[in-house]
Amino acid sequence: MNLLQGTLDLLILRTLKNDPLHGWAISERIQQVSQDVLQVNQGSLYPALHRLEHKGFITAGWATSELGRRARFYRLTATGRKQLDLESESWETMTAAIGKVMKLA
Amino acid sequence: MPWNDFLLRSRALFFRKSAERDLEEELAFHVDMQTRKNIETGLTPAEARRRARIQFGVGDSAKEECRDARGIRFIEDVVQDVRYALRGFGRAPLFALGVIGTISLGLGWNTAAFTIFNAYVLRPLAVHDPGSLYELGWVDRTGHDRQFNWDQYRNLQSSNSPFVQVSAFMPYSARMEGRPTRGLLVDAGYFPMTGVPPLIGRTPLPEDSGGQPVVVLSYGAWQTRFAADPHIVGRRILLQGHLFEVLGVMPETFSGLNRHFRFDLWTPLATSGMLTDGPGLLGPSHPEDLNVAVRLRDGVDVRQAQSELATWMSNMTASLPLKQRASTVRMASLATNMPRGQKLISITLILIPFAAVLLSACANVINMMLARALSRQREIGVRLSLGATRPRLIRQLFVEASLLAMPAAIVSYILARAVISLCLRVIAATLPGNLADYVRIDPLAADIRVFVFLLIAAVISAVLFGLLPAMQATRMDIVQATRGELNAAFRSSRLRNGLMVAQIAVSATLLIICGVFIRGANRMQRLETGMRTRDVISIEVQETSRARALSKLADAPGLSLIASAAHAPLDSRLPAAMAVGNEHGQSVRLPYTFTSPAYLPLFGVPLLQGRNFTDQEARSRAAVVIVSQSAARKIWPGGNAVGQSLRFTPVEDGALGQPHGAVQVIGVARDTVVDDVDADEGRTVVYFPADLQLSGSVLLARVQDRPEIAERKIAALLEADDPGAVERIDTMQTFVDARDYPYRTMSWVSAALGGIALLFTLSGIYGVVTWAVEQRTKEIGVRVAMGASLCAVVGLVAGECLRLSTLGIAIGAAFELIIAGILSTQVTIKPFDPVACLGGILIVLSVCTTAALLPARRVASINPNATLRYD
Repeated sequence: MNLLQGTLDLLILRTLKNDPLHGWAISERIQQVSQDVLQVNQGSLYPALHRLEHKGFITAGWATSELGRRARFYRLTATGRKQLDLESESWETMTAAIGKVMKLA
Repeated sequence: MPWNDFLLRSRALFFRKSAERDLEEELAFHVDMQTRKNIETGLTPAEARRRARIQFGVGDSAKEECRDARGIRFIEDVVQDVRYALRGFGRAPLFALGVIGTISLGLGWNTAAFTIFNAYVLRPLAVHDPGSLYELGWVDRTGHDRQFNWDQYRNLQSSNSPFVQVSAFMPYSARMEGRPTRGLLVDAGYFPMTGVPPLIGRTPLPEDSGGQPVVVLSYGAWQTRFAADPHIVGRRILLQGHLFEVLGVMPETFSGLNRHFRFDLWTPLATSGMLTDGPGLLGPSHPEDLNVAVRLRDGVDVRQAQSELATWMSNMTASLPLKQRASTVRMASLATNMPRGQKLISITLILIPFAAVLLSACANVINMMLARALSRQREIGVRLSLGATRPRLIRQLFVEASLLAMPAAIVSYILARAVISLCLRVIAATLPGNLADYVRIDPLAADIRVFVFLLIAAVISAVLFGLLPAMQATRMDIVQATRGELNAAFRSSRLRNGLMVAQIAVSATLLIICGVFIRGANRMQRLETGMRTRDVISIEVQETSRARALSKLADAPGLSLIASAAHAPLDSRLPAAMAVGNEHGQSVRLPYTFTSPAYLPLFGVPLLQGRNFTDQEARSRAAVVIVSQSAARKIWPGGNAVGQSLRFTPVEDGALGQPHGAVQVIGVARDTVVDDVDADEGRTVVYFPADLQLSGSVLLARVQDRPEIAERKIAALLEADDPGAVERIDTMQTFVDARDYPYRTMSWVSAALGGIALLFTLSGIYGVVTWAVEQRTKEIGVRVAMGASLCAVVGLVAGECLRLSTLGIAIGAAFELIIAGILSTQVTIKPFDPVACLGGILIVLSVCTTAALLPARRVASINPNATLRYD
């Protein structure tokens, strides 16, 4: 299933909430947690990561991956955390509203 | 975070390689991980890798998008374009040098012209806050412009006016240490109003306005007349025969409050009696000779000030006769010197040829760029088919153009400085005799306005020669271009033909105008004045000294004849009056002057009929006249003039000295040049009798010494024990020499411009025809193979070019008629001069033919066999 427009950024930020992850792990985690419903288009993952980095929501650094290879890990910044709160809040409102409309209208 | 963003961008920009390596490694890691996962699902390693790549997306699009995320795409592209363009120039250095040279040649002239225009017109007065300064004037009920008298000025000073500062001044000409200068009489408010402190010494204080002879010098006068004497302050210098004490020297940039003239000295108003002839400014007769400048109070509206001034002025003039009263007042801002009306038109007319030369240079470069774009058509075609967008390609070609225009701007600045200093040197070297004392040259330093002009002109030319060919070059059929087929429409481009016609028109116009001026100058030089001027000296004396001067001249050794004339011959325009020759005759306009009996013999003008004035007639101003041969022919065609009577019609305003009533013709004199211009009226003139006492008349003396020596001797003689007697003294030959000088300069300027334009045309046509030959090689090969003669194929190539030349020349000639027609209202030239016209046309035509035929000869070397096998 393809992602809704504009939700990729939100998913990335949420995935990074607890630990720093590298790109591959982010896409795996999203797939796992969504039980294979959400497939991140790998071609658009990295541009999104770089965009978020430029916006200052995440920072990147090289570290050793679980398999002993060098990988680029992304970590949420303080601004990114604020942004995540903001976006998840509006996401909640939005889905709740859509849900109501779907049920009752 | 902007800071974070900035750091990332800078890293991407300046450490591009490391950023790229990081990106590469990150993406590779991802693909490797995916491959690993795929292997775990049971695929072979090769297949697993292939799948991983497919999952990642086609080609490098992800990488590209990541690069876009860096937000430095534009800068990167420009840097790329610059490097690409520089590599291109490196491969074709001659092309780059040719473009830079052409543009800087065209731009250099314009910068030089603009520097001069800027110095004389645009540059604000070098005084404190010129924006609030105004010059006043008023108009009486008959519509005449009037100035102020001393009483009015004193009243304005003391009245509660909307002005913070007022000052009065009056220009005059005087002789300083024996040489003519222009000075300004100023009141005590003048220097405080300018707010400019003197370079050395001091400016006059209110205590100096009592009439003490003190003077402030200009920097120029201090430098050239007093060799920058460091002890100049306190030195006494001779001014109009009186000793004046130097108070100070103004700085070089000081322009005073007047834009149109530069003055060499400033003296207090109260010294007017010593320096100028006529009733004293401050005396009882109240001459209206004062110019008044004011500084508007802060926050006062100009219109409000003007209406207050109008009320004040009508109060001031309320007691005068009705016609003399004020109707309106003028407040002319001193902030700008933008000329209006006719003068603006002529200035624009002078600037147009310069712009035309720049455009011609651009046209050439457009052709060069087009030719280059044509040869790069295949390259552009390949890039288009690889997916480059048209805007991207145009941007790249434009970057190329800008890279060529910027060095051209720098070169052209250097060129402009060289042209200006050369011009100044040429002027200094060629300016005839005494004329140098009357010509003031403003400092021609480049300032910010010149640089801004240069930048804008360079950008405009880059747009012209960069964008036009870029638009054309990128509008092509990809399929054809990659196959190397040349577009037929591209070859005979209308743009290119239009450019060629325009270039030819510009050079034809300029060359014909140049010819017109050269012929004008030659005519002036060859023009027999009809007068013996070599050994004549003209002297203007103060009226109060006239009697003394006459008696001294009468006894002076080395003088053979002394005459007087109401108007200095060759140096002024004669007034004219309407007269009728007989009962039924028509009224004709006749220039006239008053001369003493010795005038005609002094200038060696023979009487063809009749006799000269007698002394008796001269003293009594008898009603007799001598007419010139042309005048006689004009009034009594075929008849005998002597003995006829001439009736002058009274003129309405009855100006002083205007002839009226009937006079009898007693003689006919051979024609002479009548005044400073050789106007349509030809050499028509009527001489009235006068004697040496005639007030305001010029004294003329024939000398035996060399005129320059005699001039000094006479000045010394007249000023001995009579300081200030001589107002002006010149040799007559100066006027003769000066007559053709403006024509010569105009012809030099237009010859230089026309020559450069012609050079551009030559190289332009040469380039166009060369390319035409190259592009049509295959076609020509076929024609030759089928038996076309050499003549026929050369004609094919050169023929179109010659047709365009004819068109261009026709347009150029038409332009010349228009421009010279307008110019002829300002200077005396014949707008339609067949010789100049034909000469200009022949030069342009022969250059066009040469430029077309030289490359066209190459077709002779086309080998049909070789060409047909090519491609």
